[in-house]
Amino acid sequence: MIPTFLGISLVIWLVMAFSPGKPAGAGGGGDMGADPSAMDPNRDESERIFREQFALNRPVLWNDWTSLSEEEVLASIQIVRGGVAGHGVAIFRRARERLMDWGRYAVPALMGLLRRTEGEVQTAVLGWLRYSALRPNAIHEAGVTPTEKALALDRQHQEENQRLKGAAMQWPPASQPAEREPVLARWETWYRESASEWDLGFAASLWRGASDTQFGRYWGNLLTGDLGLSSRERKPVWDMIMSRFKYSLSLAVPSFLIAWILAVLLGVVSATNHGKPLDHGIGLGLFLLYSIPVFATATVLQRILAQELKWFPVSNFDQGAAATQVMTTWAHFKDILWHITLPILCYTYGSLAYISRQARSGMLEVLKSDYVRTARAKGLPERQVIWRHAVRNGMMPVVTLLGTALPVLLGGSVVIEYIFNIDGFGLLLINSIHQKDYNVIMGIELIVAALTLVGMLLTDILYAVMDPRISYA
Amino acid sequence: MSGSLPTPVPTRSASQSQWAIVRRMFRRKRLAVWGLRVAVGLVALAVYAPLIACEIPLLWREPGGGLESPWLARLFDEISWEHGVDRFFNSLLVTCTLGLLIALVARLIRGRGRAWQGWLRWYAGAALVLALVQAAGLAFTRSLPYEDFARDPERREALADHALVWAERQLRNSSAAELLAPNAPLARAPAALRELASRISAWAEGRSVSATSDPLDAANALTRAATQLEAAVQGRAQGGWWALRAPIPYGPGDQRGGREEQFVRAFADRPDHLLGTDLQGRDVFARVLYGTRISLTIGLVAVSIYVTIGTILGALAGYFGRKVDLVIMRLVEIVICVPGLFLIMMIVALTENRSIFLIMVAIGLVGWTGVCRLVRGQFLRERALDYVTAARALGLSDGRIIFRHVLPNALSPVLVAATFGVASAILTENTLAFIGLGDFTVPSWGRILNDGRDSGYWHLILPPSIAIFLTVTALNLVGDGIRDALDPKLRN
Repeated sequence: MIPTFLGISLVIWLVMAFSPGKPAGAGGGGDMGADPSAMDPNRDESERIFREQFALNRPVLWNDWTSLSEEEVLASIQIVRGGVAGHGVAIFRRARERLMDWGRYAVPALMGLLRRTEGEVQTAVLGWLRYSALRPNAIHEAGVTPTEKALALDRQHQEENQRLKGAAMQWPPASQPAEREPVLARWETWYRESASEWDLGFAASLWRGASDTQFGRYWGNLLTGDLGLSSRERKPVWDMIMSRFKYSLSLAVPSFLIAWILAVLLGVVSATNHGKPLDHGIGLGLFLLYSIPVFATATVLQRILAQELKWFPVSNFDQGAAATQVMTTWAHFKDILWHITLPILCYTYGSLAYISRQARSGMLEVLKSDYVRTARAKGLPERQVIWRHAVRNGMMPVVTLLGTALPVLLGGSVVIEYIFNIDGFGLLLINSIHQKDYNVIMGIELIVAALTLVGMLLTDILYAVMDPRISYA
Repeated sequence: MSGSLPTPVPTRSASQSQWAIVRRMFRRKRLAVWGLRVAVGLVALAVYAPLIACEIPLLWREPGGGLESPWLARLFDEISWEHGVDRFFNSLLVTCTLGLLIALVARLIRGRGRAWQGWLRWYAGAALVLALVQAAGLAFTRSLPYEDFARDPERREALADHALVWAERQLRNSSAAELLAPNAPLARAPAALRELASRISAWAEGRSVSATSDPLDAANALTRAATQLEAAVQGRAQGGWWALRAPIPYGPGDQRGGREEQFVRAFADRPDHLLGTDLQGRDVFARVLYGTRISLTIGLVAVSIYVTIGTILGALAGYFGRKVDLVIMRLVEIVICVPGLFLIMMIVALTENRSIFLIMVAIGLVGWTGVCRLVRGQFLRERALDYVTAARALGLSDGRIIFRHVLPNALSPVLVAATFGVASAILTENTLAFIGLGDFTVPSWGRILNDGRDSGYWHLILPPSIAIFLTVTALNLVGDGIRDALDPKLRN
C-alpha cells in the first residue's frame, strides 16, 4: 500500500515536473525586460508560493548550481544584454529565466565577474548581482502571527535588502573605473560578511545538490506531510481540504448508501424475474440512466425542480453562516437536508446506474448456482432463498466495487458540487484550477489518491469479512 | 448486406468464420442494430456537417460569370475552418463521398465483382491513411488566436487577411435584396473596416515597431478591403446574383473572440436560427451539429491512444509474466488509484493549455488500465495453449508470436471495451467542458450546456443534452451488442 502510494506520488510528480508549458517557471512569464534593476523578486507572489513549495525554479533532479562557473553566468548575461533582437525570443527568454532562477546561487560567480569585467559589461553584472542577492519576502500564513524568530529573520532580510538596494551599492551610469572602486569594495565587504552562505563544504553542497531540487523538495514535503500554503487564501492547504470534506462527505455517504440499497433491490427484482418484461424494463431503464450524464440530468432537474417549481433551493449547502447561526441544531439540520436533497438525488442517480448493473449480474450468477437450487429443492420459501442465501453472495461484486467506485464517486462529486455550488473539495479543485492555486491542486490530487488507496484496502478487508474462504494470513 | 452473402447453405457449419457468426449474433439484437444505425448516422452528420450548416454558400453565380462553389473552394481553407478537427472532417467529407461513389459504381457493375472488391479495399485503406496523414498535418498547423494580436506582427497581418476574407465572405453570403436594404450589414461593413484600420494605425503610432512588422500594412489592407467592399456592393446590388446555401446558413463559430468579435457583432443580426442563438449570438443548431465532430474525434482519438498503450503493455505483461507482469501490474494499480477525472484536470491545469488535442492525450494516458488488464488476462489464457507452444518450437521470435499469433485472438474483448470507452471518453470531455476546463475554441456540447445552466435557457440545455444522450446511448448499445455477440455462452 505504501509503495503504491509512493508510486502514485511519483506519477503525480512526473506530470507536474514534465508537463509542457510549466505554469510557474521563472517569475514574470510574459515580461521581456532585460534590465535586472527593473525586476523585483517579490512580484507574482501567488506564483512564487507554488514555485517555492515545489522548488519549480530549481533543477529537476540534481542541483549543481553551487558550482556555477563564471563563463556560464557571463554567457547568459551577454545574451540578455543583446535583447530579444540579438538571439531571438526563445534563447533570450531562457537566458533571462536562468539568471532569475539562479538567485543567490549565482552570487559567487557574479562576484568573480564583477572583479574581472569592466565597462558596460561590469554594469550589467552589477545589476544582476543586485537582483540575485535580494531575498524575497517571507510569506506568512493569513491570520496567524508569525513567531518572534521568523519576524526577526524577516527584519534581518529586509535590512539586508535595503542595504543592497541602496545608492551606496551602485555606481552612476557611465562611470569611470575610479568611481567604481568604492562600490566594488562595499560589495566585497558584503560578500565576505555572508561568506558562510557560499562556502559550503563538500557534504553540504552534496546535500544541497540532492535536496534543493524539484524532486528533493517534493518528496521532502510529502514525507513531512507539508502541502504548503494556498496562494489565494494564504492558509495551509491541508486545513482547507479537510474543512471541505464534511460537505463532500454529507453528499457522498447518503447517496452512496441510497444507491446501494436501491441497486440491491433492483438487482434482486431483476434477477428473480430474469428474462421477463420486468427485468427487461429495469435493464433498459438503467441503461438509459447510465447513458445520460449526471451533469445533464442535474442541470435539467435544477432548472425544473428548483428554478421553475421552487421545491428546492437552487444551490448552496445551507442558508449561509448568518442565517444558520440563529437556528437551532434541528432547524439547521432540516435546512441542510432541504438544500442537499436535490444534489443527493442527482448524485444517487449517477452512482445507481453504475452499481446496479454490477448488482444484477452478481445476483444472476448466484441464482444459477447449485446451493440456491439446493435451497429451493429442500422447500425453503422463495423469499428466504433470495434474501438469506442468494443476496449475501450476490453482493460480492458490489463490495469489490466499493473500492473502484470511490474514484468514480469522487469524480461525480466534482460535477455535483459545481452545479449546486456546494463548497466541497470538488468545487475547491475547480476554483483552484481557475485561480491557478497550484498547491491546492496538488494537495487535492495527493489526498484523493490516498483516499482511493484506503478505499481499496477497506474493500479487501470487507471481502475477507464477507467471504470466509478468503484470508490474508 | 446479408443479401449479398454467397453462402447458400444456412446450416451453421465449421466453415463459417468467427466474425460471420458474430455479425449474425449482433444482428439478432434489435436495439444494438439501432444503436449502430444511430452511431453511423452521427458519423455521417459529423462528416457532412458543412452541407447542413455552413455560412459559405454551396453554389453561387455572379451576374456575368459562371457557376462557382465557394464552399468547395474554401473546404480546406485555414481561415474559413479555423480548427484542425474541422479541416480533418472536411477531408473525410471528400474522401468519403468519393468512396461512396466508387462503392455505388462497383455495385452497379457487379458482374465483374471480385476484382472491384479488392480494389475498393485498397481504396478504403488509402483513403484512411490519407485522412490520417492530413489530420496529423492539420492538427498541428497554427490557427489564428487574437489575444496576441498586438504583440506578434505575423498575426497582425493574418488579421488583415482574415478581415479581407471575412468581408469577401459577407459579400458572397448576402443576396441582392440584403445588399440593397438601407441598413444592410454590408452597407455598414466598409465603415467598420475603416474604423478597425484607424484603430490599428493609432495603436502603431504609440509604439516603435520595426519596419518589417509594420502594422500600417495591416491597416492599409483593411482600408483597401473597405474600398473593394464598397465597389463590390455597388456592383452586386445592380446585377442578378444567385446563391445556393446550406439549409442552415450559419457556421459553428460565426463569432469569435477578441477584436474580430466586435468587428462581426456589428453585422450579426441575421434572424432565421433554427434553435436560436447562444449567449454570444452563435447558431445553436450549428454548434450542436459541429459538436458531433468534436465528440467523435475525442472519443476515437483518445480511445485509440489508450487501446494502443493498454494492448502493448497488457500483451507484454501477459506473455512474459513474472517480473514484467509484476512491474506493469504495479503501474496499472498506481494509475487506477488516481481518479481519472482528477488526473486529467491536473494535467489540464498544469499545462495551462486547453487544446482539444491535449485533452485527448490526457484521456488516453489515463484510461489505458482497463484495456491492459483485459489483454493481459487474454494473454495469460492463450499463452498456455498448444499453438503458442508450437510457434515457440518453430523458433518464431517473441514479437512475432505476440503480435501475429496471440494478439488477434486476444482482441475481441478489447473491441467491446473500446466501444464503451468511446462513450466514456466523450462523457469525460463534455464533463470537462461543462465545468469550464475544456477547449473554448471548439463547440463542445458540455460548454453549450454550461451556458444553458448559467442562463437557464431551455434551448441551450436540451439540444446538447439530447445530443450527448443519443451518442452515448448508441455507443453503449453497440458495445452491449458486440459483447453479447462475442459471448459463446449466448450462442444457441
